Amino acid sequence: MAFPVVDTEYLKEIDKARRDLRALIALKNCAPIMLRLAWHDAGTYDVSTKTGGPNGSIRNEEEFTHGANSGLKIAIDFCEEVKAKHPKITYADLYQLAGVVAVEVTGGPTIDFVPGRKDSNIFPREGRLPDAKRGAPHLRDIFYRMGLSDKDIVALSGGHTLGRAHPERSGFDGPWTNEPLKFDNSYFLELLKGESEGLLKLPTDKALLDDPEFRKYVELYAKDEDAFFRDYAESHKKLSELGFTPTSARSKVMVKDSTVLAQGAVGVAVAAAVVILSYFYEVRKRMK
Amino acid sequence: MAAPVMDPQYLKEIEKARRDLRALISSNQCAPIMLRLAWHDAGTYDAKTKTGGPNGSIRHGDELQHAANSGLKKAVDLCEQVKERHPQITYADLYQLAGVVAVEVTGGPTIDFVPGRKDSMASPEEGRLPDANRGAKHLRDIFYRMGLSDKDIVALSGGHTLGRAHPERSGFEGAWTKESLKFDNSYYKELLNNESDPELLKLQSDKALVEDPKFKRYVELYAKDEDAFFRDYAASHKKLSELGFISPPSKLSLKVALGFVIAIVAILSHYYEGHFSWNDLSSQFHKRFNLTDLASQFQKRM
Repeated sequence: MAFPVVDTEYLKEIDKARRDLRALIALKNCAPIMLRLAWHDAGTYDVSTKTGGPNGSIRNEEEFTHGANSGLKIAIDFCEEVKAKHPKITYADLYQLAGVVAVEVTGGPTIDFVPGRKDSNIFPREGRLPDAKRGAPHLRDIFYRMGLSDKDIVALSGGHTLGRAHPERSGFDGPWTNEPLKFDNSYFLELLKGESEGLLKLPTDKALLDDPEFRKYVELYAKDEDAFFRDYAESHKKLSELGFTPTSARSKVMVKDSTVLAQGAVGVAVAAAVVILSYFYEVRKRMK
Repeated sequence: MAAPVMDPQYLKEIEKARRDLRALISSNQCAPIMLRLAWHDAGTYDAKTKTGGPNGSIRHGDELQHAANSGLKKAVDLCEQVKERHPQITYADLYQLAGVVAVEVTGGPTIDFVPGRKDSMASPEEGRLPDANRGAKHLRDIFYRMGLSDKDIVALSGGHTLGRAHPERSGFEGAWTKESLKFDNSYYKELLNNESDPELLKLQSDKALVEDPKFKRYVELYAKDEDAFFRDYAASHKKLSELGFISPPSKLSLKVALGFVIAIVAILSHYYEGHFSWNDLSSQFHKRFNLTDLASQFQKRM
């Protein structure tokens, strides 16, 4: 499939889709599952084979029926409402935009969003997403494979500030924090507090405390929400762009905008006119 | 009148409050009542006496109990949660920020927000906000008093895209549109639709917008063109949220300023013509930079 042409028309559609997503997510209170959809589409990336990643492949039945994606059809169907109104934008962009908006409407940091991802129907094999029952070495295997770092692992785990686990989906039960619809650093505060009545801690969450490298970040983010928001925004952006090169240079190249070309042409014409006129002025002066 | 604030600490608190409001409004699904709170705090403005306006006065018992504000205590209490975490910011700024965020999280346009409003203890007398049972003339009386225009009246009425009326509050009942938590132009489409669902609400003051020919032009525009509605709504909402706070440059003052600049330029160029010739300038330039010499030197080098 081809890359979408990111011209002014496409950018306008993205803005409208962003607004539709805000309304939808606020109305259905579904920020957590939208964030999970974006993460699970992106998190299949393998940096050495350049396969997987944020390409909309998760909408295919073969992929959304993977064990790790249990329950995500709800989010896919919600996004379908927005896609129907803005058919031009790719599923890959739509799902990542939904993830960004989910963080925004729950009070999280503003994450930079660059559109232009292309859709793929090639879905990766099961097993690329982390297993909640495992520990630190497993987390590093999974995330390093994507091309991410220790800091990314801890910052992104902070996404558990939102939502809950469901027995019929993952088998686990309950929210990680007392306000599962508020994006803040309480996930880290709860981790350091230890066992809490009614709050969930997966083995992978606890691994962040047991490993000294990870723990450094947990302590930083528990103490300093601004630092968490800053690192989270950076890591989320990285994740949402795995395998995608959204450099501003590339999007400039893709902008086949007639007004930009026209402006360039006018500039060249003006410069040429100035040069020619000053030449003639010189010549006339010489002739006098 | 207060001035826009440049203190970085205050601006940081505003950004944090903005995020808190997003979370609060989304999870409580209270965007409509937050928008109404912002509107009712600002809408008491009188441009002649410079009283009322967005100054947080609505939180005081007297004003909160005005009939027009029935039910707003809920919004005041919700905002209190955010104020507690950010005590530095004024109630006036907080309520207007809540209004801006309410429009944003329901899919509406981004409205520019400038902080710096001061709080006031002085509550205006009852009767400054519009009466739903009245018509076009009443709407003009109320909004012109604030310093707003016909376009503002119609654009701001589009706020009815959100929310509903409650029997125990205004006495009316029901929503104006089918998706009362989605900010779009359906309010206008329903107004123009003679066969709209009878369950949907149309107040006398809503119907006035199609009965008055000047208002109707805008209703038709916004029903047809949602982008135009969003653009005009954002401008009108900003104006409303800044009544008595920042005076928008009036068209007249812009013209006067432009005329003044043109006059200055004309006088200066006349002065330069008389005392300073362009020929002198260019011959001095050519003495310093002999372009033909330079050109031949350049050619020799190549």
